[in-house]
Amino acid sequence: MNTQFEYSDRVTFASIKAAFGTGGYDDEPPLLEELGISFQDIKKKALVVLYPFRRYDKENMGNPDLVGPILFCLIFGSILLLSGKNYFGYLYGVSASGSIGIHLIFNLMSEAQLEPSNTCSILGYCLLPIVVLSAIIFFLHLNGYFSIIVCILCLIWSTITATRMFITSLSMKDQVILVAYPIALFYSCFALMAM
Amino acid sequence: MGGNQFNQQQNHEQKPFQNFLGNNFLNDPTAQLGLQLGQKAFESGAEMVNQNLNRWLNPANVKKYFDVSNSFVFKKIGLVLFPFRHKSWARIERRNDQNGKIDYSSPRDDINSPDLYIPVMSCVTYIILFAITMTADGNFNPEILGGTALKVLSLLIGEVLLMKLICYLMSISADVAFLDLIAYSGYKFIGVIVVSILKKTTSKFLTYLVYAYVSIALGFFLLRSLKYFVLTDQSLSANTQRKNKIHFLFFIALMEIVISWFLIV
Repeated sequence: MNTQFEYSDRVTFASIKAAFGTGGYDDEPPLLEELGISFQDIKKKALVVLYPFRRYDKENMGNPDLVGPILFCLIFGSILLLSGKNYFGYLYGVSASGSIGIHLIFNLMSEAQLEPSNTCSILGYCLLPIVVLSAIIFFLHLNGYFSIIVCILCLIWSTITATRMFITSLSMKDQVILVAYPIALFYSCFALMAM
Repeated sequence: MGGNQFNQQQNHEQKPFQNFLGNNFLNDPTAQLGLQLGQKAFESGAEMVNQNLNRWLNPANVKKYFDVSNSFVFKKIGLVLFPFRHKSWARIERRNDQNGKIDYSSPRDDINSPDLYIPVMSCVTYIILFAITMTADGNFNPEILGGTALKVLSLLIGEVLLMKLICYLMSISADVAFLDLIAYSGYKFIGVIVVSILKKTTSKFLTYLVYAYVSIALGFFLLRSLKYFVLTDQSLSANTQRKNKIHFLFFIALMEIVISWFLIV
């Protein structure tokens, strides 16, 4: 392989070979790293959501990424598709309008300001219990009262996690229920789709 | 040299056109006057747009309507459903520290102040609840969400515009804020949600009974709290004006009750 390569704009045979071959350059960073996608990070954040009784610090919410949320939404949509519901469009609509609405309301309610990407990141990662719920309902063929109970449990789980994250990052003390309510409404749409 | 000559020749041939496009365009007094006028018109137009936008959608102004606390929201919902024992309906006035103007205090400190958190949240709750009740067979259809949202939003906008139009036609003072009207037209959703849940779970008779009670409570609440908006300048207004305003209040209360009936059915 060509080890003596300098990055330049010139198209040479070596650069074409590096682009279309399997080798690439030796000192080149991996593609995922260049795109800013780190599955380690996504896994770490997902685990934070899945342990509901852990303390949150602001570090966990810093460095918001949207890859995880989009990934979870796609998984959720695919599981729904497996059970015969083509809800990708509704998922997109509900998550977009819900995120925008929640972002506006929280920024209007608190003194601190939140970035839009931060809001989407928190809401997307906290969707994880609902994704798990849809998988449980699909693979175990749940229906009737039992599915409703599981649904409500997952809804409460998602809501509590997201509320705690928002409260720590927005430092709102006397508005806990007011923060939790819109989040619960948002996730209840997803839970209803999963049912 | 040749170029200069060519220029001069053209100057003779199409003088007005050249004047418009040429170098001496900015030196022409008429053009300058026009330019100044245009600039002034643009500036005043931009200022007007800014002012109107600020009046309705000023972030600081909107933010005040969302300055709520847990206890305020619960008390306010209680007030909308049981308004008969409440004594003082006047809003607390407070001097603004920055510009010295007298201002109403925020909802956090004053239960009589209108807010936008309850209307927005109860509206969204109603939309989701309606979608759930429409799917009795347990097969939730998200399409209803969008349809209901569109219906409710258009209803709210139409209602507020109608209120504003009637305000204008009856020459009621223009100080009735747009956001206040939105807030007061949103409070009906609390009663609507209660009745919708009862309609789904209990008998018809109880539903009608509760609807009748909720309507009376809503009407009472609206009459009492809107009175302080509409009937502010009591000394100035003539007797007929006052009568007009009271008619307006009754009309709003009646309209809200009728619309909440349409939302329940």
